[in-house]
Amino acid sequence: MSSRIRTTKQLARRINKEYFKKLAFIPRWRRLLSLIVTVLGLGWLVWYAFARDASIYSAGPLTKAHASLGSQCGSCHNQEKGIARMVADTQCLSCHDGPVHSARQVSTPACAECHVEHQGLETLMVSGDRMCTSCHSDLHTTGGAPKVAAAIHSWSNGHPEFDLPKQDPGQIKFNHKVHLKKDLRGLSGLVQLRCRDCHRPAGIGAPADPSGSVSGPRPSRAYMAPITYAGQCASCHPLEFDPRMTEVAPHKDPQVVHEFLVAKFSAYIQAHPELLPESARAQRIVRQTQDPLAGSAREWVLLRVADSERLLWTKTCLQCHRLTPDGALPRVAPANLNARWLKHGNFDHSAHASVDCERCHTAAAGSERTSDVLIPGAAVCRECHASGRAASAGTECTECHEYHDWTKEKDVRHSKVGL
Amino acid sequence: MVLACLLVPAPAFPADAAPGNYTGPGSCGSTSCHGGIRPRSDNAVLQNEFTTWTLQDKHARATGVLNNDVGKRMGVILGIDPSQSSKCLVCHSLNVPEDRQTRSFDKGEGVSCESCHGPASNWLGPHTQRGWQYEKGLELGMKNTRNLMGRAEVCLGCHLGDDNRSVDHEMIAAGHPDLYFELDSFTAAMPPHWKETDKDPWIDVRALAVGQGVQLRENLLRISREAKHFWPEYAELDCFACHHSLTAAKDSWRQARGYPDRRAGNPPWNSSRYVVFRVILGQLDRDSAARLDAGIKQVDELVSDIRADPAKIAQAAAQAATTADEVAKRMPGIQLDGSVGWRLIKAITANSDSIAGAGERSAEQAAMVLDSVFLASNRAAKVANSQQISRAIAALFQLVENPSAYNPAPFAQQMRSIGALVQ
Repeated sequence: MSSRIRTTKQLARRINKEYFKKLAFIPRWRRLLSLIVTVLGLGWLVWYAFARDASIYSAGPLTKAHASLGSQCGSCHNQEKGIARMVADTQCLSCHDGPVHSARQVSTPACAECHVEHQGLETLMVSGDRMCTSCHSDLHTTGGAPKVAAAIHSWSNGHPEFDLPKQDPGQIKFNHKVHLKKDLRGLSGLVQLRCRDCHRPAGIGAPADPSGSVSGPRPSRAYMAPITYAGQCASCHPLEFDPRMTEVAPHKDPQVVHEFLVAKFSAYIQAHPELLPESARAQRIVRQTQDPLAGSAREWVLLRVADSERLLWTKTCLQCHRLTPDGALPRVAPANLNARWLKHGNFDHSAHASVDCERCHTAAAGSERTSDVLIPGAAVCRECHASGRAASAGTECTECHEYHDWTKEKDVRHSKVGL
Repeated sequence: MVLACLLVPAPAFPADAAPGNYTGPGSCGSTSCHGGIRPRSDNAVLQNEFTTWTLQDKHARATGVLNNDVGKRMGVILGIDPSQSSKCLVCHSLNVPEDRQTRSFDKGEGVSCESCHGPASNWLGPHTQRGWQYEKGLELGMKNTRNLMGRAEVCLGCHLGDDNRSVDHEMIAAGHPDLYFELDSFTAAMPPHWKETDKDPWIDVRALAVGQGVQLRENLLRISREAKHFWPEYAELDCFACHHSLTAAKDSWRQARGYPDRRAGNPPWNSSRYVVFRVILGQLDRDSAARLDAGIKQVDELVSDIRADPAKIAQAAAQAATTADEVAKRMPGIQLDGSVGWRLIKAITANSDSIAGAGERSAEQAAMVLDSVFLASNRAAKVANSQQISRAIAALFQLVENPSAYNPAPFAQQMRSIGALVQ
């Protein structure tokens, strides 16, 4: 009988009885790497701390508008409240104004609820109808009935018709149909006017920079430039007042016009004394009353001024303006041209430049009365801005609306950010 | 029945067949249209028509006079508000009903564009277009004022009256002037706001003859209308047969002359629309003169007889009007030779006594006609003594300055002296 080579003892020896005194490979490296990473991390932080660079704490890139703030976290993140907290409104308002949406709103969100930073957005504004409809789908106020529709769920659900006036409040007698007709007679022949001959985007025609380079802020092109006599009317409707004069009367108050006429005719008769005294025209009919004749320069001026004013007040001015007698000179009703029709929404003509004017302003070419409102209704917008359609122009609230009521904007004087 | 006719109120505006509605004078006066400050030479029309009308033409002030002192006083006498009454506004404004206005316009702008040119709504738009012809407008409601007959009819609608427009003895008593007219003189006095398209060198004399013919016809029609409704209508009689200051019998030229054609005490017909025309016709259209004479003589006798039967007057006047219409229609095409002007002056002045004797209104016509014919003649062939003739005609005007002091003898004498100045 042969004896066993491996005894139990021998076998037991194969086990390191001290194994627990030394870490195994993985745990050892885990511990080692944890230590290294922590040290490196701390070192990285210390390195940045020594370099005074806080950018490593940023949650994401800043919007372009805030890019200049760089790594000055404290500009917005109030140290006392801790960086984890949402930036307080006071921090925003130290540089920006954010006028209240409505004096009667039941709740006011914090700036950062809508304006989310560190998302790398082009602008801070976060669109999304929910921001608006959370209130406007079931609108309540702090007192009184809402002035706008109370259940707007979206552009296609609950949005009311535009709040346009029933009549154009303008007091200038204007006939679009006549002005747009074929072969309109202009001062030097027949013309065909187009919408843009009078309705020019603001900014077009602004004086060019004398240096030749484009500089300075350009006026907004969203709205049309205001209609003025000098800009739109004067070229075809000169204020001629006497065949002897090549000048035209100023487009000003009747009193100013009167003084202008007196000055012009006084100068004229001084230069032409041979016109005095006036002699009667040959009588052609019996019982004919003679027109008054001027014996002196003063009488001549009075008669000519009276003639010119008759022509101006009863023809030239009256053609466009409403005049009422007011002593010796008439009173001219203010033009009262409406500068902006859509009071709640913003409309940008430049964004719609590829669309013909008549496509939306369908009634303009046939309009004969000043009182006609020629602004299209919501149905016209919906021809392109139609939610649910495959190829639709935008239908978000923010396409047209702004939250802040910028008519109540205040000047922001102090900035704690030294730039 | 007659009473019923009298009670039917006259429409506010004469029924006119012209299609279209009225746009108001403001539609025409743009500087680029008809409201320029000076006449233009690059267009068929002057384009300062509105300015001429506004500044020089009394028609533009026709509504304004309703509110002057005489107008107000007339309103008190007649028991009407002249600025509101259609009796006045039919001639003193563009008085059209609301439903014929394309936009509401001020009626106070006088006798304006559409009063004479017709309602513009149908032609206002297209009439500025390239290739437009005047005739197209006529189809669309524009009145033909280039046609001398049409022009005279437009003027006489107010300057003599028609079915809906009249100046009767009551209005004259209240202060309205007696109506009178002579197309060429009145056109010149207006003054014209157009350039004459007709290149006829005697266009003024032709217009004068047409005006005389049309006003005679319209006068006869008016007598016929009045005689059917209300007679005697004193406005048809010679005003100054009665309205003159009375002098001692020995100084009365009327009594010295006697009343050869009528019973003493009967006021005579105001024949001013015939006596001068008759002489003109004698030169231009002898046959017409002869045809008219008999009918007119009958009207003259009947109207000048205060006891005449109105039905007979109406019939005689209507009959004479038919002849007058035929004669008037011959006038636009009548032959006028180079010497017609001086010939007419000779003929008219040769009839000094009969014209001057027909009354102050006839003398008035003679003065205006002589002046018009002289100016046209002198334009055609200037004479050396034109200034002398001018002065003599001006003196003729002076003799009718005060109508109730009118005396036929010196007037006839002055007419003869004008005739003597003309070769």
